[in-house]
Amino acid sequence: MDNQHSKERADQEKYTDLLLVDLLHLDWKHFFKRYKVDFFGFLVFYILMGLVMVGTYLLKEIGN
Amino acid sequence: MHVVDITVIFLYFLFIAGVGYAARLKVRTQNDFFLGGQRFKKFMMSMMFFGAGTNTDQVVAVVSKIHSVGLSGIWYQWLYLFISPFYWLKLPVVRRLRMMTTADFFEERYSKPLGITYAIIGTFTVAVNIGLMLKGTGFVVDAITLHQLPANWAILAIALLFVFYGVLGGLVAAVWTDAIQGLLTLVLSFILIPFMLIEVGGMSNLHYQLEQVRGLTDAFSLVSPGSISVFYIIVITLNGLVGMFTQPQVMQTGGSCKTEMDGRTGSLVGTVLKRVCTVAWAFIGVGAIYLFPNISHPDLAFGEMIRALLPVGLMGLMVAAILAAVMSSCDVLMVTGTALFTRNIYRNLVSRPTTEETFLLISRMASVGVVVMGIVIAFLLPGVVAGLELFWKLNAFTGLAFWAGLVWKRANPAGAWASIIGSIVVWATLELLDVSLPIQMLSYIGAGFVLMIVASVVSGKRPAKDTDRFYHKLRTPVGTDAALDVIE
Repeated sequence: MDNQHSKERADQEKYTDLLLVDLLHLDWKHFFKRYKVDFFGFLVFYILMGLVMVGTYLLKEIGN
Repeated sequence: MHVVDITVIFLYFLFIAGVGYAARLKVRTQNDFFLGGQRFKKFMMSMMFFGAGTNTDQVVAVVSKIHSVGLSGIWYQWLYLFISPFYWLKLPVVRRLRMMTTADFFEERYSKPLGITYAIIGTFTVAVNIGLMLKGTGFVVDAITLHQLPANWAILAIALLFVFYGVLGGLVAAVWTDAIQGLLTLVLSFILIPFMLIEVGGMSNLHYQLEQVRGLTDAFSLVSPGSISVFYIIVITLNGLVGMFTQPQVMQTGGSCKTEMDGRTGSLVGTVLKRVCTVAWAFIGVGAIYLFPNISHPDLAFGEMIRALLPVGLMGLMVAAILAAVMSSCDVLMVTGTALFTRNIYRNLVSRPTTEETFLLISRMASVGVVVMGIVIAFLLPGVVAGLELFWKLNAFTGLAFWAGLVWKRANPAGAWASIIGSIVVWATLELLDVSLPIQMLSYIGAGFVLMIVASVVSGKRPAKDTDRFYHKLRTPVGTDAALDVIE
């Protein structure tokens, strides 16, 4: 039970790691597990910015 | 201006003042005043990010630039497009710092004198920023209303209103009103589009008239940025990244969320909304090329479009939206300037208030002082564009010391001083030699970076105990360790 509890806590702590805080010593081996919120959110953000640019291009082509 | 329009503006003022007055009931402590009690969820955070980051000057500037160079002028607002995703990474860091001002960071991580130095620079920056926004908006309102609401009166009216609700309700009032004002800013961005499309005869006719009849082949081009080259965009992006944490209002916009995810989502939604609005502004600019080809100054294009296209009633709504856009930026800045002055200058150099009530009273008085200072400075400054470029640089001067303090345990006060002073000296020298903006930026960032490392290494390590608590906070989400959550 204690082991299970410790594991859950450890997982929770890993989940809360921040990419910017660990920037100079990133854990590349567990990168996607430790920084998944940072990494995937960052990726989604960039995709949305890309969509805004593509959307602008498509809008300007209307009626051309 | 028609009586209906004036009524709409008056009702809007009354409503916002009422919301601010109600917000005062939520303010009991300095945490409530400066960080809104850290209880804002996704919608409020989104509106705060959108409202605080969007103001009338930006609309006027984009429409003006596109009127001059075509659709590629949109890059004047999209320069920060590539930095925006970093806000997702920044938010939890800011929240975990558990600080009310950026100067608190310099005080805790480095030393009290560095905190005070940043607070002085930050308060000045905030005051100038408020003044410039008020000044710019005053002239826009003046132009739209054909001088029926003169610039100076508009400035006073806007300042009085946001000082009234901000002084009473602090960041709580700012965020509540930003939720309403953010929606009005959306109105501001899109309300002109249908009227413009009717006037120009649709997008097909706009293309035909501009490209075929007038021969303006660049009118719809996104890739002929003129003075904005790829190199320029890369350097501005780098400079923006360096100064990302040292914008004075970063603790207010980032530290007031209820959870890290609320803050992250707010930054994402608010930023995307702003970028989408920029697209709407851009097409208004293209319409202005066709409808007003011979105006005396491109800055007048937005005002001319409003005056020519909007019917009675909607004109009043538009003026209210313009006022909303600037107030939602100024209110957060006012709270920021007040926090810097009260917590990091007054408390360190004059006296430490003994009770929360005294602290709030001084903060409310300081709010008025910051805005008055802003108005005075604004009328002494020559131009808006030069002021904006100076803000970019001011943030970057202290930015490297912030980044180093965050990611490098070896960074120490000597390194921070060397980096800040070195960056300023390099910039001042190149400014005197009239070197171009991107080269200036690369030079002072490079100098600041090298000096930070060399001075920190040469001056020796700090005892680990000096920074243990700081780094422990960064690894501990708010709410999981009560001892860390106390903001002094």
